[in-house]
Amino acid sequence: MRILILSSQKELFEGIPKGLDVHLLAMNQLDLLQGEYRMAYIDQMDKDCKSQCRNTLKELKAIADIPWGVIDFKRKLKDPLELIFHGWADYLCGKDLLKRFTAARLQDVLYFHENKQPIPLKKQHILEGTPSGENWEKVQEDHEYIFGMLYVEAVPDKNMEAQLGERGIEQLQKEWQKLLQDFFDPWFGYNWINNGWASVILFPFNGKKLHAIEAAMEFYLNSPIFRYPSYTHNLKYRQVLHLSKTLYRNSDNTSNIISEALNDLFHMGLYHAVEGNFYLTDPAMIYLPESLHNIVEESRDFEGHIIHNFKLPY
Amino acid sequence: MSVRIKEKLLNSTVKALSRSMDIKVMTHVARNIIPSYDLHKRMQIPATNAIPNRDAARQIVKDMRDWDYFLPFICLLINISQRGYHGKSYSIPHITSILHQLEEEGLIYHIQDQHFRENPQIRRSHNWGILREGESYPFTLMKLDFVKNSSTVRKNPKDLVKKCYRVLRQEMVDILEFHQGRQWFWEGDGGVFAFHYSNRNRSAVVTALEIQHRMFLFNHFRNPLNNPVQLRIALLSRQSEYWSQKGAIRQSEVYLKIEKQESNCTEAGGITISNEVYSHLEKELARLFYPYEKEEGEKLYQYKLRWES
Repeated sequence: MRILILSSQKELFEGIPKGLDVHLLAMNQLDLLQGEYRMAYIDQMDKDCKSQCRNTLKELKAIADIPWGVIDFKRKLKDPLELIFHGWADYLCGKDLLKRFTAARLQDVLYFHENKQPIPLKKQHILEGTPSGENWEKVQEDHEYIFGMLYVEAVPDKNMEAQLGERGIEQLQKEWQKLLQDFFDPWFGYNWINNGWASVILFPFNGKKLHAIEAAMEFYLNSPIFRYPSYTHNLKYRQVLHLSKTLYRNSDNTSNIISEALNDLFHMGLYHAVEGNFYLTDPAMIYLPESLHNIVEESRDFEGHIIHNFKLPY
Repeated sequence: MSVRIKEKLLNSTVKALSRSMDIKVMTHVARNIIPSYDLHKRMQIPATNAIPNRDAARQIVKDMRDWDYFLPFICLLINISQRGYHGKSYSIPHITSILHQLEEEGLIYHIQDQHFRENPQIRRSHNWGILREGESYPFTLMKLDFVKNSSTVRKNPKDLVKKCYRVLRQEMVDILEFHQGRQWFWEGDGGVFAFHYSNRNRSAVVTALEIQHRMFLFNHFRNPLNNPVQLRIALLSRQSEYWSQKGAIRQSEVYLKIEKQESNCTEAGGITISNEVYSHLEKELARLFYPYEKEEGEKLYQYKLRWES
């Protein structure tokens, strides 16, 4: 989705999420408009939207007949809801407004603007499948359930193979797989698919709480200090936590499962996730406590999924 | 808790000693552990009288057991069997059997450290099964304290607070024992954990980090109280005497020092480590801590979970 921003304060937009396709222009550069935009924002400093907001919107619609929002770094507007009553689509304010300038928000803004309906609860949408439960007691083979699915991959040092040889690497991978199983066991995490350094840990989901988030966050926080007693090599990790439904078969019998969710998860892990980082997909994000939303840095679109990235702890 | 030395183990050790060396050498070996050891005096036999090898060995092994020096004595025998003694090699029989019997009691000999470690699946004792009351050893101590406990109690039902603290304490002890640490005592809203093995500074720091991370997650995911629960953790590394009783620990110099560090210099949710602990850390761990000077002359380092903006 292509977004237009009209502002002469370009330097303020340096922190814009890289995953968003944003075209930033000053008001005197309108001749540089290119192609179609899904939505646009005007900087309050460039065009005063305080008074005559209906007329201002009319002017802007003449430039591009798409939903328009206002960006107001200095919080000049005292009653921003007035904008919405007069047909504007969004209002973002404050010095840190770029933190809220996410793909997920833009989707919500567009949904509300176009439907004038509350955004449907994503939770309800997700719960269309059968939750797998509090633990593994009721999970049966060849049935489809909703699970928390954690893609976790160790990224070994480049020189490690040369240092350890094939056997040494195999031994280390075994230790790594055991570490994963031991670590996630208290949360009923099951090292379901493992492929050398990459694994998918499956967590039961009871439909109300996604305990996998706490487990994955603990892994994320402790990963810089991780060394199993016999571990002597530094590994970095990347993690993606997804919540979706999949057919369940036990670990020895997963090769013939055709699962869009699994396929998507591997794609996110392999092609999107950066080492040292932890990501939540949109369905999983719903279960992150609100008190932790301030440590989720940005959201990006990746192959149709909105992915939220945690800030780095230090 | 001292190690239980069964009669069979005692006999195996007597045989090992009596069949591998004469009385002169075995007395010499005993004096490595107890410098003033006098075999004739112990057996109440005049110094001029000869003692049968086996009787001498039995007396020495029994004394080692009764005076809580059995494990250091076995460590010494293992060392002699591997490296000899005063330039002469000794073949000591039954060593394997002795080690096997000790394993059954939950003690595993670590060749690298040259001492015994407890097998946590069998035993976890206050003194790791090897420390002697009143003797001096290197320790890394951890002092933990729940911050503003009385305010938490005021704001919440008493039973709920108790239950939370019980759950958290158990989780802390699980993390501690995974890293071979021991809980020395817990009193009200705080306690002391100790680490003794060769990698004790690293183990203590990792334990403290894992505990603070667990607290962070507890507050966001599971805390049923009306306020967040926070801990202060201080770490100090020192040579100090081992005491099993809480009263004696509390009177020790090292305890007074760490208590001051914890209560005066550590922020809520933070970990402070002394310069000695810091200097033993590998760089991946050390980089998590930043210099933190709160008291004159005392160089400390602190960690507090922060997020990059």
